[in-house]
Amino acid sequence: MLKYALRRILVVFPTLVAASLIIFALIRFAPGDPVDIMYGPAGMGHSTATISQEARDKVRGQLGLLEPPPIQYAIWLGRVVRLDLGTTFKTRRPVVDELAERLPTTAKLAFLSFGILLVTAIPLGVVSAVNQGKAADHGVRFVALVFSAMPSFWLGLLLLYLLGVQWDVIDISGGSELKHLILPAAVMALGIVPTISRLLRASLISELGQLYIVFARAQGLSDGVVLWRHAVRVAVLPIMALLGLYLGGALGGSVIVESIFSIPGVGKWVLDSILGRDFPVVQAYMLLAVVIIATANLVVDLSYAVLDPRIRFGGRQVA
Amino acid sequence: MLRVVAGPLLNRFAARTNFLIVIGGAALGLILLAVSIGPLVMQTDALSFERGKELLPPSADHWFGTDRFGRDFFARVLEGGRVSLTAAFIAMSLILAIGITLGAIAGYLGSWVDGAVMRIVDVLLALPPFVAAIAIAGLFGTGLQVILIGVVTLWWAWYARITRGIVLQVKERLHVDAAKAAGATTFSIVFREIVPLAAGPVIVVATLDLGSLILTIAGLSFLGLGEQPPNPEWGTLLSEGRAYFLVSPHLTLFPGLMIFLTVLALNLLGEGLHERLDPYNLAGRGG
Repeated sequence: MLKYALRRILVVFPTLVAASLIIFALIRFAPGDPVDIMYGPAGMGHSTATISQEARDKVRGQLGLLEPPPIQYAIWLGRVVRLDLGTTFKTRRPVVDELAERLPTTAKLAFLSFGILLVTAIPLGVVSAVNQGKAADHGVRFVALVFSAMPSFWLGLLLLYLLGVQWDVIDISGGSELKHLILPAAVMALGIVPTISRLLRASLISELGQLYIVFARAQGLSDGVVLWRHAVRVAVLPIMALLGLYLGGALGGSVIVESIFSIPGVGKWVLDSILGRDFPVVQAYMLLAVVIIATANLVVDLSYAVLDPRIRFGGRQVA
Repeated sequence: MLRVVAGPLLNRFAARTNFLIVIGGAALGLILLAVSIGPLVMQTDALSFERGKELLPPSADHWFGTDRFGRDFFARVLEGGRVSLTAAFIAMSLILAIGITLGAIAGYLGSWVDGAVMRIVDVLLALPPFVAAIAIAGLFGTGLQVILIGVVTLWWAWYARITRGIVLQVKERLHVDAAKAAGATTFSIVFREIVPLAAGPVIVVATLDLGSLILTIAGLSFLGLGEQPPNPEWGTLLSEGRAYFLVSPHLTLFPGLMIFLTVLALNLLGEGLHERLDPYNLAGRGG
């Protein structure tokens, strides 16, 4: 197990290095000169607002923009590893500080929506697998098709209007407390509930046909025990990868949901930074997203190995 | 034995599958017709202002009401649909062209070409698609073209992987050997013998995926990264309407409804095709 874990952890580094190269290259080749963005373009606007060419070159030197790209990359990576992500163009505060202020809200939202996802998608998947081909199955499938076609930004606005304005049952003022987060979390989860419940259905149907289920039934175990203690536990395994990715993505902030519901989290911060062309923030965000996704994949793979001995012993088929 | 059991079952499948294909196809056809012909035959223009008619609710004169400048919203929604759907179709064509070509070349040639293409694919698939598209838009500015470039850059990888998988199975077939023996060039083997075989299943996946592509493009536009006002696009219209959300909910209702119906039609069609061609589990894109 330890050997497998070490090998798996080592694989993360080449991925992170490749991703960091892409991100660095994207920022380097993006149109627009950082100095122009910070101080306004040369020779434009009022004379007091622009700065001289020498001053521009000096700033460029301070920012390290005069070095050759490989050295710039090395310097940049060295800072990133020490969690120095630079300062924002807008507030001139460290990017890390601004991120740290917003991360808790986004994390709350992410875990809440993950919980909502689990308590809706798993029962739906189980119900349709157990009633395969019957009315309940078709019903779940139809609802899934309808919801997967619904744009989250539209659904969010409609719910906001109906629940917040027409019926006035929820607080829509926007904020980071639990009462502000339930509806956004539900809207976020709804987007992926159809996918998860359908995958669980397929995986559970195939598990219910396995010999060990027949054996468990033959032992006289009740249907409920066979289903939940045996079949569902195994059927969830193939879906864990997707669940992990979802949680990872959610921790990176849902730009759309945070923007609709005015939640002061990472997603909204990034959107504002993108529209304001605040490169250090965009760059930091991409790095954060890559690290989170790589970590989520790692955790999923390791937990597979813990739960399924076939993987850690090198994929020998036991069944 | 299997045939006896499976026969009637498959027939029933086929019956219901046809139903899905017919409903989805008809709805999609209707929407495509409306957005392609509508803007041409309508009396009112999507961009022309009319004073004193601002923010009217839906009526017989203006089916979808009017917006804050008194522009006919029905005309704007149709014109927006033309822009949105054209963008999605162009993006998907580019994605398929790049994905199928690179996947087929990687699968057929193998060795270092395969290795190189698949490493790029791995990295691209490791990026969260929506976040990455947002980031690209953030770096390269806003506009529909930028969004399309971003989406295509990220999305082809998935199709390259599917195509490569199919090609690995197909390339051992006799007609490929025959073409080789007849002295066909590698180019001609890949594009005449292999790509046509891979294209079918890949296009089924693409139909299912077109819906999420439309949602992604509209979502990015909704965030203000895509088509800029006054030009209509479904996501852009929604984001414009959002400001008048409390007084004129119709401005958010209709563009979203059109996106929803289009994606639903595509989902039904894709679901039908998917079952028709492969009743077992064909790779699903997942999140």
